[in-house]
Formats: sequence, structure tokens, C-alpha cells
Amino acid sequence: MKNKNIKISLFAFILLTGGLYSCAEAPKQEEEAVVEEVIVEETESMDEDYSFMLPSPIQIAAIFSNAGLEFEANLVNPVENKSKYNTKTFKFLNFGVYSADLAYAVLNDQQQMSIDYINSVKTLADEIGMPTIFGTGELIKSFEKNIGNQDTILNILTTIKRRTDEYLAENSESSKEAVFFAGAWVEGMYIGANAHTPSTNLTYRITEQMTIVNNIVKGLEFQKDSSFDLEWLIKDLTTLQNTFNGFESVKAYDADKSSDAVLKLNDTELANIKEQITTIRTKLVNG
Amino acid sequence: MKKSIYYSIIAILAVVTFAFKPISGDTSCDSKALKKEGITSLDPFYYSSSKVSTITYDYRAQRKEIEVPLFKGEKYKMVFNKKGLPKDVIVEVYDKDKDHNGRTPIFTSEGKDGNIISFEPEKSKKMYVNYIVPASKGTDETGCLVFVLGYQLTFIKKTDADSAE
Repeated sequence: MKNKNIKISLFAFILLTGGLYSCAEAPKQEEEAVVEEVIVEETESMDEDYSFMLPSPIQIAAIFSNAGLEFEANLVNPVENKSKYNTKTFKFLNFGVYSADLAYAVLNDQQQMSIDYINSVKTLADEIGMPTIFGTGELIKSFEKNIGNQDTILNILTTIKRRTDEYLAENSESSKEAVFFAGAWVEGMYIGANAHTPSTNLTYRITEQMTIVNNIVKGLEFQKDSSFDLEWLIKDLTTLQNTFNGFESVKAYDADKSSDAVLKLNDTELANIKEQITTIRTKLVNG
Repeated sequence: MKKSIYYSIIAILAVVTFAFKPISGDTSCDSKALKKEGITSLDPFYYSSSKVSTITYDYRAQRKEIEVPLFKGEKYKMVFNKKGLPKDVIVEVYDKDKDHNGRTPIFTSEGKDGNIISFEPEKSKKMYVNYIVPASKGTDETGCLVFVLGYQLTFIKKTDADSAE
């Protein structure tokens, strides 16, 4: 009886050792297969996410503002619209849209509007499941208290951006940054392109922003969360990118190898960009 | 019978412990802390974005590339925190991507001491950060390299970076 029990124990041990060891080894073999592929290509190993940085939407707003973009209240997405966003996709995208509107309001010293928009951003952050980026409410209080102090307010916006990045990283959701960013970028471009007082500098800055559309599309395509409905946005932004790449001004710029070449779109090309951006933005804010 | 159950439990515990032991010589990477250090080094620049790259050493040297969009006329600072690496990785910055022949190196960390390396480009345009991962003989080794990008708002004088917190 005793021998039989020992045999049973040994059998269980061998069985479990074999089973668990093979389970533990499986991913390693998979990793080795990837490494093997890298060696053959002699280029680079696959990154865990996309291999580019997305700029800060606050900086884009600041660049537009610095280029002469004047404040026009009718260009922002009304805060009342936030109740329309019932899907995860539109909550994420409009978190970005309202973040861009907030930066636009702050940079133009629109104090009450800034408070309204930070509250809209907070509402969507709560609904998305990121209430921690605002802490226990101290950030909103600090924002309201320092509303007349632009550099402190910009520090608060930067803190929100940093905390959002941290939240996504801690929850292995960094790929969602591209969804927020897409919303913020489209809104920033919409405001810039529809300004009634376009300056040469502003036009240049809008053109410059077109150079990152490709990465926004890649970021959206890389999205790991399949519950997002982003196909329409990817398609629209790809069309925008293809339109831009097909402009004669862009082709001439690409062919010019001199280091001091500057890309300038003509009025027709600019109007085309404006029309497409406006169409995408309308879909975004309508929810 | 009780003894056999006892031996079985010990066997299972032993197997579970063995199975979940880390396979590689993984260097712990507290990316949040490393990022925080990088952000502190940005001062007086504003935080723009960051990227944590997992580095897995192989028996052959590797190159990883990150595209960084920098806008004309703006001031930037790049900070690289290498504390999470078991072996040094050289950071290089280029004006063009790796597929371009004759691209110009703008910055290299080679010969620079310390785990936190920073670089402020003189001219701003799209840049390509490259990590040159050295070959590693023997066991798998991993670590992480944290890259933090900061920008300057040229029309605003920054006072206290943490005053808002």
C-alpha cells in the first residue's frame, strides 16, 4: 500500500513537472522564433508598440497660437455635446477634442471657458475610467484658483497629460494614446484651418502638422483594443494623407533635396485640406 | 494514504515554484520611477511625451529606431534614462531614418558618463533616435530604456514645474 502511494505521488510529480514545464517553455520558444527572424533581417527587433512619438496636443495648440491664431469661440466643440458621447470610441476621441479646446481656451486667456472645458475633460476621464488623472480633485481646485496665471495653468495641463500617459502605461494601454491624440489633433487642425484671420505662419504650421498624419494612422491601426470602432477614422485620415501626398506642392517639395526647401501649399490645396478636416471633425463631435 | 497526499502537495509546490521562476536574467524595470527621474531632468522644459523601450539583448548587436517629430523653430530637450539597463546601450540621433544612405548623426551618447543622458537639438525637424544594443553572450538579458521628450513654450516664462501638483 505504501509503495503504491509513493508510486502515485511520483507519477503525479512527473506528470505535473512535464505539463507545467512545457507550459512555461512555450512562450520562450516563441520568443526565440522572433529573435531568429530579427537576426536574419539584421535590422532591428520588433518593438512592443509603435516606433514613433506623438507630440503634445498642448504644444500643437501653443504653436498655432504663437503663429497668430486668434480666439473664435464658435470654433470649439460645445461642452453640452459631451452628453451625446455614449460609446467608448467617441468618449476617448472627444476626451482628445476637449483637451485641444481646453488648451486653446487657456492660451487665449478665456478663463470661464477654460474652467468649463477642464470639467468636460474630467467628466469624460471619469466615464472612460481614468478618474485618477485628476487626483482627488486637487487639480481642478488648483486650476480654478490659478486661472489668471497662465504658466501655472499650463503646468496643470502638462500634469494631466503626464498622468494620462502614466495611467495608460500602468494599465498596459499605451496604444490608446493614439485615440486621444487623433481627437486632439483633428480638433486643433479644425480650429487652425477655419480661423478667419489666417496668417502665413499659421498656414505653414498647418502644413507642417500634415507630416504626422501617417503616424496617427499607424497608431490607430496598432490599437490593441478591438472594442474601438476606428475603421472610419483610419479610412478618412488615410484619404487625407493620400490627398496631401498627391498635391503638386508636396511632390515638388519632396523632389527638392536642398536643405532650405520650405513646403508651401497653394490656396486650392489648403481649401481641400480644410474641407476634409472639417468633415472628419464633424463626424467626431457629432458622436 | 495521508503521507501520499502530503508528498503530492510537496511535489506540486516544488513544481509550481520551479515553473514560475523567471527564465531569463531580467533586470527589474520600474519604468514609472525612471520616467519620473527623466521628467525631473527636463526642467525647465515642459513634458511632451515619453517612451519606454524594452531591450532584449541577443548574441548579435541590434538597432532600434524611434521617429520623433520636432516642429520648426521650437526648442526641445531629449532625456534618456539608462538606469534600467544591465549593459550600456548607445543612443544616437539622426536627421533621417535608417533606410537613408548618408544620413547625418546629430548626437551620440558614446563617451558620455552617467545613466541619464540629455540632448537639446540646435535645429528642430523630424529626428530619428537609434538605440544600439550591444551583443550579449550567454543568457537572455533584458532591461528598459526610458526616453522623455520636453519642449519649451517660447512665449511663456516657466516658473515652478511642480507648482501645480
